[in-house]
Amino acid sequence: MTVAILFQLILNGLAMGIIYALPALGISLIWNASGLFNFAQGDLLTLGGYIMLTVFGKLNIPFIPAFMITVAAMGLLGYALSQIYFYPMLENKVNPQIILIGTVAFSVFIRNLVLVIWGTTPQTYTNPFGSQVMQIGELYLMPHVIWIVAIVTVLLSLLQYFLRSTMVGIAMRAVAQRQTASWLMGIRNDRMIALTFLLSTSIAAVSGVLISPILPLTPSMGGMIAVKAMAAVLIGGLGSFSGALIGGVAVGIAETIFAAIVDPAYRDIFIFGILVLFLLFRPGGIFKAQVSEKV
Amino acid sequence: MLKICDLTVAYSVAPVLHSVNLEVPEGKIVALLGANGAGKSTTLKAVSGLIRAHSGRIEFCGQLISGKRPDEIVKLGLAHVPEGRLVFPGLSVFENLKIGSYTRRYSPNQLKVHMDKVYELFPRLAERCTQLAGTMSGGEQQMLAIGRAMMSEPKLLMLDEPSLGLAPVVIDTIMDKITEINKHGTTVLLIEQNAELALAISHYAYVLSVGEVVLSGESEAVAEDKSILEAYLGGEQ
Ligand SMILES: Nc1ncnc2c1ncn2[C@@H]1O[C@H](COP(=O)(O)OP(=O)(O)OP(=O)(O)O)[C@@H](O)[C@H]1O
Ligand SMILES: [Mg+2]
Repeated sequence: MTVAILFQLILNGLAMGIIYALPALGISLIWNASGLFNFAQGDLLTLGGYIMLTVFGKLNIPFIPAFMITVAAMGLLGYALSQIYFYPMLENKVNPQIILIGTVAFSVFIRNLVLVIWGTTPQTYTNPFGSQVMQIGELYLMPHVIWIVAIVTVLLSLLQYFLRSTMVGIAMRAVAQRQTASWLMGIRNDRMIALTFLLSTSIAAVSGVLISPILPLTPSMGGMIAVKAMAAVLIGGLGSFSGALIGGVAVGIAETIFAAIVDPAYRDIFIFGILVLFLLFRPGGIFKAQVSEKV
Repeated sequence: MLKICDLTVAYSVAPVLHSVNLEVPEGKIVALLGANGAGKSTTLKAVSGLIRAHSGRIEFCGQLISGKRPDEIVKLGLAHVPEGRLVFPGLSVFENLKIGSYTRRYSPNQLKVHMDKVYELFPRLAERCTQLAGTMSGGEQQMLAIGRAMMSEPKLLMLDEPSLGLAPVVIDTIMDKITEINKHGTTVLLIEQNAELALAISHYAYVLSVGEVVLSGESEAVAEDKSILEAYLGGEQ
């Protein structure tokens, strides 16, 4: 194998890894804010992908507005979901493990909703980033690989700025750390947690849109991605912002290279084997979540 | 300024506060004393809206506040420094102070003015403005918790055992600062188990025992009732 091919594999793995990193980030955001592990994160991604299919692929709305409509719709869904479903359970002190089942229930609900509305046949729409292979030196790349990396980099920088430097961002981190004290600051904890869900589902929508050039849409696609995202979260460190990113990218690159060199059939066995090793020998993940990072 | 009438609070069935009456006049420092479990923190939580009163009325500046949410109460100018300080451990000192002004929506200039006031009161916080609050000493965290509350420019500052777990020298500093804050025009409601400390800096005092006010009056007079104080506060004095 040449260096160029390896490099190309790494770039493709990076694009896939970023797709895993986004739901992983969504999981960590919600985990920090509310102590819930959201099993529905992958199906939210699916839903985002299908909304884009309708808005962009069927209604032929141009890509950028269609993308924005999809993200906004999913964000609203997240906000409402928190206010109507999850926050009331948290406030009534329902056992977190029972709420966890609530997220599983929600996952199954979305999956079947998608199935009923859009059917089981795998669907695609025109690759919005173009399907002309690009050649850079010895590298052959699809444009979406570069676009995915670029869009997510911009998005994460904005998110970082929001959480670090704006009053609402700081308030979200405050709620994730100490709920009583944040009430005393005059923060509406319920709204901040809903805002965290909004961010998380918007991020899921972004990954649902960005994945379309890589995988065809199926009602169950989110399930497999969610499992990878969960592996990413646990390998990176649950609750850690950088852990989610690095975990996702690591999983994406590792599985791509493994599939190319060894055997694609064993790809998932390899990844989850590594996950088991992590759980055994470094259960906190690469980055044990630190209070400073709690978002 | 603050008027509590017949306040009764129950967590489960058994009431923790029985018909408590308490008044905090504008411009004064009022001490609320009592042994462990007397219901001091519960009283403050009811005032700041963290828990619901079972019955009774709480008025702040002539406005009924019982039944309001904590954020609505903070906006009216009532700040509560909770027991155990509860600073945000993963936020820097600067961010902790900034979030203290959450309801005020200051412009960047106003924010700086208020932050400078707090830094003037507690120069230690200025030195450590980028440090994570969770890595600070107990005394520094207490200063931060008070500074954070002052960022909202409260009319009434309620402090829940600010001396808890601190060394005597640090306690003296904190008590001096509380007096200073009061001299600058903020009314104070101070909860303490250490009666001697609180009586020394307060104008009026209330003694709470098993959810009832058993003694109240001017601090000097209360301080003279040594035997009663001892009986209710567990003979520490
Ligand atoms: N969340 C709660 N649920 C049930 N009971 C509670 C709760 N919080 C406090 N209590 C009870 O209410 C009573 C008063 O508690 P409170 O915290 O107000 O006392 P305190 O005077 O502040 O004591 P301390 O000096 O130890 O802080 C105690 O008997 C306590 O066990
Ligand atoms: Mg107490």
